[in-house]
Amino acid sequence: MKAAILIPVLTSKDAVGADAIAMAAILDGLGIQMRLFCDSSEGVTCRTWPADRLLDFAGGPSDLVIYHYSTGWPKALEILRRCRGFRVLKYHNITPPEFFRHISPDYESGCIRGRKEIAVAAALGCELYLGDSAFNSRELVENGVDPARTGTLAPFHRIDEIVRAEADIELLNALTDGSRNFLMVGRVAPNKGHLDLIEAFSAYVRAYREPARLIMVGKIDPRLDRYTDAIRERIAAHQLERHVSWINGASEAQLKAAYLASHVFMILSDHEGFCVPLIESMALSTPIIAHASSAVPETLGDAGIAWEEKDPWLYAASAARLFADDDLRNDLLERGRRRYRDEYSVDVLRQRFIDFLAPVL
Amino acid sequence: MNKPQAENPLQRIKDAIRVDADAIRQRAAATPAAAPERVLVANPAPHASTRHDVAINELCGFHSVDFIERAFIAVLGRPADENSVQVHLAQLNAGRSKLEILGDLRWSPEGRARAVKMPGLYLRYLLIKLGRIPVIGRLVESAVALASVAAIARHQRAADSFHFARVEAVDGQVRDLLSRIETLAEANAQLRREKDALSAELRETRQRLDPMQAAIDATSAVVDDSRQRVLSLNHWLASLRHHLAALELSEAAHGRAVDATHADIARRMLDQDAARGERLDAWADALIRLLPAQAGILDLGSGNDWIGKLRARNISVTPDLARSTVSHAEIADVLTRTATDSVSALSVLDVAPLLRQFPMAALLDALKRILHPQGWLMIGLEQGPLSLADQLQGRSDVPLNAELLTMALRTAGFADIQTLASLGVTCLVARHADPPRK
Repeated sequence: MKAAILIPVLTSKDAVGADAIAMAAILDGLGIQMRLFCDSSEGVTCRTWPADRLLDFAGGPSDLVIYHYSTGWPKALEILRRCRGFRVLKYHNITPPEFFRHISPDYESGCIRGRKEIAVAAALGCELYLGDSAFNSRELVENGVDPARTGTLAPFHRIDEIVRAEADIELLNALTDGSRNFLMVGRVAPNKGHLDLIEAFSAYVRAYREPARLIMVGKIDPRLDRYTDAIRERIAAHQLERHVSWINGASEAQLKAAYLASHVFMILSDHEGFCVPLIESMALSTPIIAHASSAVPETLGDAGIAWEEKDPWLYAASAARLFADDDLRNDLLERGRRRYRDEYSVDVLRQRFIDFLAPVL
Repeated sequence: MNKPQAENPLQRIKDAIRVDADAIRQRAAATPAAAPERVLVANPAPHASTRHDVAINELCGFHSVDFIERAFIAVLGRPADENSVQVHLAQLNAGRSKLEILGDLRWSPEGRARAVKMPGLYLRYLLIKLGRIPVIGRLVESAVALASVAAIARHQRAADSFHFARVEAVDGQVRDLLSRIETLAEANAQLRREKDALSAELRETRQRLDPMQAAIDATSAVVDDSRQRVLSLNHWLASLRHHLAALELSEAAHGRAVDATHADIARRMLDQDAARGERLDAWADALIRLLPAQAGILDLGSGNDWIGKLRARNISVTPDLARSTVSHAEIADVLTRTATDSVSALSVLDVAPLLRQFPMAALLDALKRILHPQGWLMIGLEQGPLSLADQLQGRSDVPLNAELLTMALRTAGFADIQTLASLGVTCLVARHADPPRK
């Protein structure tokens, strides 16, 4: 048996790339001849092959092909159509295009194309469809995938590497100045709810008048300048310029420092297919307050405070309660650590992945 | 049963947070938004009411920063800025009276504009200001002081009594603190004793665990050794696999070179056959009449000129990327990998060479698997590139005729078998008659 992993762009730092690379390592460890196929790669040390050559290597009746689907890519569907054997489609979700309306026509049309392919992918009749979350799996079923061929497997991640990394001491020192640190991790994109986050942070500053800082870690995309400008304007409107720190494209050391120095991880995102930063917070012991949208409640479980509504005062009062109530804080941290260990640790995910592949191994 | 019990405390906390949120929302609605500098003030002043009639005795009951912040709210209707707090605090510390500070605020341009009523302030503020005038001021101040002697004496007695009570209270608190320090010292000593006992226990446990640790270390060494052996074996297998793959690649490359040479010779031969073009045109036209619009065809080795004829008639030929006809070496791969029920029509104009790899029954089964139910198979005994390649490799033609081919198709479950205008060469079309798969 041969195994092929197919992904449009392979990068080591994004969640989809980390998932694909971890799967490749597991298959290689099982002694299976395996190759990674993509159109381009960035910052990865493992060897990759051009996607066009996948059918020269695998796709026969006894082979395994895993496609990581997170964007529109007709070539992948054509390749899957011409494969036999055990075909797995791992669905990482595609942001609904309406988030990008009036912000980026490129992103909007890309998301429209990507979401149209869900039904085409469903019609391929792959042997297994995996969603990062039950939320993602439901979308697949709604688009015609047979529920009997559907499963849920959280994405592999790089949390162990972050835990082992040495924190950026300079940043850690700069952030530990007595201020209450609110942390948000996620790329600067309109579905991530930065504007609502600033409202909540502003409510906290107005109501409690304690020194406070909002740390926003995430890559700023020049193609989404309109959204980035809207965030800057909202910060200025609340006179919070001196209270907000942006870290654009953080290293592992900076990310670790940000988690360690923060008193709360707060996210008001409107659409998440899984939300890896939530489990990073659990593993690195930062208590969580979140907006219960899309896959967030499912990933968070009972390891944080989640609100259906977006009332900024609720989030401000939640943070104040967390800061004042040590028992609550310790209880949430313990639940987070337990949830990470039982549901999302690499060993648990590895075993689930192998169980899903049992029919072909 | 456990889950609701576990969730209840969190739900109760969330209910409490909702109450907190309502409270801060209301507080914020009544408070102007603070500038960032004000955010850093540790204890914000509680807000006085917005009434316009303020009792000066009530305000003078507060002291220091508390007094200043309340005075600003009461007289100017806004919180004091940091600089004003410092200036007025310095004045209070220098002995200036609270009434004078209240008067300064009330009759400042901002205070005049707001015009808060403060009964009794005007006269007392006027007397204080008169006291600032040289000579006359001294007289006025003396007169006021003389008139106030009785009140001052009363204040002095009250202050004595107040301070005596405060000293008593402080004494009591100091005694209480000393007692608590003593209790804490005892508890500390007890903790030290317990810590010593635990340390001794820990040492003892460590001693008992040492042999177990040694056994674990020995086992780990064995496991590590085994792991190394397995990894070495894996490396060896991987290396073997890479060598085999390299050999396969080399052999395949050689095969492709031979195929290319044979294909070139075949092309030249076929170019010389003037009647072939005519035959292919007739068969392509016949096939189009049978197919629905947008149908796709998978061709197996019939020749580039055949593919060209189909494309010229806007028929899509699979695989899309194929620049040339499928070679002999690729036919097995194509038959194995093409998905089930995935094409509307199949063309195999030069079937004889395929029989070297597949018996007729197996070949027809494989073609039926790929073909849509009700799809069409075009099969012929044309001498194409595959036959010519066979001859160049010293293999003789497989003897086959139209009758035998028709019988084989019928037996394999094909229907509507038709013989096409042949121009001397057998070519049949047949419909895949099986019902759709479930």
